Amino acid sequence: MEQKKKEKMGAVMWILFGILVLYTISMLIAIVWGVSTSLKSEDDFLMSKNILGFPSLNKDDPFNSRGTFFNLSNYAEVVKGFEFPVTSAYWYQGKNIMRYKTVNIPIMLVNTIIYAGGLALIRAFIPALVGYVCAKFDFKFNKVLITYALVTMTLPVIGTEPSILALQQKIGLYDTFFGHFLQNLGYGGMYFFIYISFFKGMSNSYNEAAEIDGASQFTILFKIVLPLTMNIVGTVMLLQFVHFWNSYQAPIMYLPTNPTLAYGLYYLVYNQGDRSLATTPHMLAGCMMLMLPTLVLFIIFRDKLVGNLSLGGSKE
Amino acid sequence: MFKTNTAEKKFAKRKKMMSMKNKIIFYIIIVIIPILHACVFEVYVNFQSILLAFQKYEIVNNLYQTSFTLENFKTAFSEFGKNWFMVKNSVVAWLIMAIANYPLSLLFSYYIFKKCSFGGLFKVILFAPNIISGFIMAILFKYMSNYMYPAVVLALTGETVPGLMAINSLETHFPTIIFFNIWTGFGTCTTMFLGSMGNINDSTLEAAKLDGATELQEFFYIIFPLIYSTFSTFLVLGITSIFTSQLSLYAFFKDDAGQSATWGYYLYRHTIYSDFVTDAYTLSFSELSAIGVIITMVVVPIVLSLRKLLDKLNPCN
Repeated sequence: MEQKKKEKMGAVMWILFGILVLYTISMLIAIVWGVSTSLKSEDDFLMSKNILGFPSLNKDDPFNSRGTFFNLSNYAEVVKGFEFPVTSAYWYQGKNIMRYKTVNIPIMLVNTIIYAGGLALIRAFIPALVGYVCAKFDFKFNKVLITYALVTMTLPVIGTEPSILALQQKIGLYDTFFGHFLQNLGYGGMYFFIYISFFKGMSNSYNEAAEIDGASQFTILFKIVLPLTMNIVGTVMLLQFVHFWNSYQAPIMYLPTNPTLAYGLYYLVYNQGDRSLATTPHMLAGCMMLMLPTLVLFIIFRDKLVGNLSLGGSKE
Repeated sequence: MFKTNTAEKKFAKRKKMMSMKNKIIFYIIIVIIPILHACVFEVYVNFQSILLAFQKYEIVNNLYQTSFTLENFKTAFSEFGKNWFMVKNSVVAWLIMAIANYPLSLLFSYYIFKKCSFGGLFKVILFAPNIISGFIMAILFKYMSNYMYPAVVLALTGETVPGLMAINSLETHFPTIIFFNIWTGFGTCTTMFLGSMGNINDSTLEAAKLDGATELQEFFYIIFPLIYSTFSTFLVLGITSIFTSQLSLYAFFKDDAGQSATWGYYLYRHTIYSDFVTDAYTLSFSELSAIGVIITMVVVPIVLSLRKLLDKLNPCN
C-alpha cells in the first residue's frame, strides 16, 4: 500500500484533533497518577492528603514517601507478602471433590503463563487451520463451517455458562487447565473470518508448485503456508496472549484454585487477608505490576498490535 | 500410441483421485477437533442449557437426581420482576455506547486514515485500554473518581464533594460507569474501522478530491458507505451483547452493584457462586439457565430484525 500524503486539516479535523488531545491527556494522567500513587506511603497519600501530587521526598515532612519511593516498598511488600487461600468444591460421580490451597505471586505467575500462553496458542492456531482449509479447499462443507461461525457470532445465546460449568463438573474437568483448554478449542470468532480473507488473498502458486513436487498437504501446511503466515498468526497470538493475561473473570469462574495474576489482583483489591496490603498505594502497586509485562509487549510490538487486522482482505 | 495415451490418461486420473483422497483426509484431520468441540461445547451445551431450565436437581445418597419442573421459569420471571431496572440499565448502556462510541470511533478512524497530525500516536493511545487490563483501568478510574475528582473540585472551587463512586453517591454511579465504558471503548472499533478504510481504493478518493469534495462530503458519501458493512456488523454485535455486557461492574463493585447492575453482571455474579443444588442466597444452574433461555428468546428476534433493517439502510443500495 502506498504511503498517503499528509493533507491540510480542515475545521472538522481540528475539532477531532482537540478531542483526541484531551483524550490522550486524560489517559496519560490516569497512568501517571497510578504510578505516582503506587510509589507513595499510605501516610503521604491519606494523612498528608497528597492525592494529586507526586510522592513527597521532603526529609522534613513526617509523612514523606522516601522509603517507599526509593525502595519500591509497596511493590516488594505485595510480591513477598501477598498470598490468599483458594477453594473449590463440587460433586463428581458420588464424591465431593474439594480443593484447597494457598497461592502466592510466584504460583500465580506460573498459572498465568500456562493459562495465557496455552490459550493464546489454541485461539491463534485453531481458527487459522480451519480458515486455511475453508479458503483453499473447494469443498461444500466449507459453507456449513462458515455459516455456523457467522451464526454463533451474531446470534445471542445467553446464559450458557451454567451449562458449561455443569458439563465440566459432570466430566470431572472442572477447575483444571486441561478442561479449560478443551473448552476453548473452537474455531469461530472474528479472527476466523480475518484468516479466511487472508488465505483467500494468498497466491495458490506455492501450494501448486509443492503439490507438483510431491509434497503432502501437511508438508505444504507446515513448511510453506504457516511460515508465510507467521506474521498474522503471530499478531493474533500476541493479541490473544494480552487478552488472556488480563482476563480475571474466566479464571474466577472456571479455575478457582488455579488463580492467575489478574485473579490475584482482584483478590488483593477486594478480599485482602493481610490488612497491611489493603491500602490504595499497595493496590495500585499490584495493578502496575500486572500492567508492566503487557505494556512492555505493547511498546515493542505496537506496530503489530495496533496494525490493521482487516476484515476486508486484499485490495481489488 | 493409442494404448500409451490410454495408460497415461488412466495414470493421470488415478493420480488425481489419490490427490483428492489425500486432500479429503487432510481436511477431515484439520476440522475434526473443532467440529467435535462445536458439537460438545456449543450444540450440546446450548441444548443442555435448555434442558437444565426444565430440571430440578437434588442430592440423594451423594448422587444427583433430577426431576422435571417449571419452577425455574417461575423463579426467572420473579427475578425479572424484581430487577426490571437491570433491563433499563442494559438497554440504556447499549444506546449510549451506540450513539457516542461508534460514531466517535468512526471519526477518530477517519482522522487517523487521513494521516492527520499525530495520527500514529492517537492510534496507539486509543488502543491502550485494550492492552491494559480492563480491571486495572476500572480500579484506576475508581480511585481517580473517589480521590482525584474531590481533590480537584476542592482545589478549584473550595467545595468538598464526595467521590463519584463513593458509597453515598449512588446517583452518580451509573453515569460514571457509562462514561468509563465510553472512555475505554474506542480501541477495537477504531482499529477495525481503520482496517476497513484501508481497503478503500485510492483512486475513488482521488476522484472525489478532484471533484472538490470536502472532508465531510468524502466521509459521508464515500468512506461511510464503503465501510458500512463493518459498521453494521459492530451494531449487530453490540445488540447481541446487550444482555451479556457487564460494563466492568464486577471490577467496580464486586458483588454489590446495586441499582447500577445489568443482566450480564447479574448472570455472571450468580453463576460463579452457583451449583446444581443451591441455597437461598443464589440461584441454581437450572434457574440461571431458565433466565438465559427467556432472554435469548427475546433478543434473537430483535437481532434478526435489526440485521434486516441495517441491510435495508445500507447507503450502497
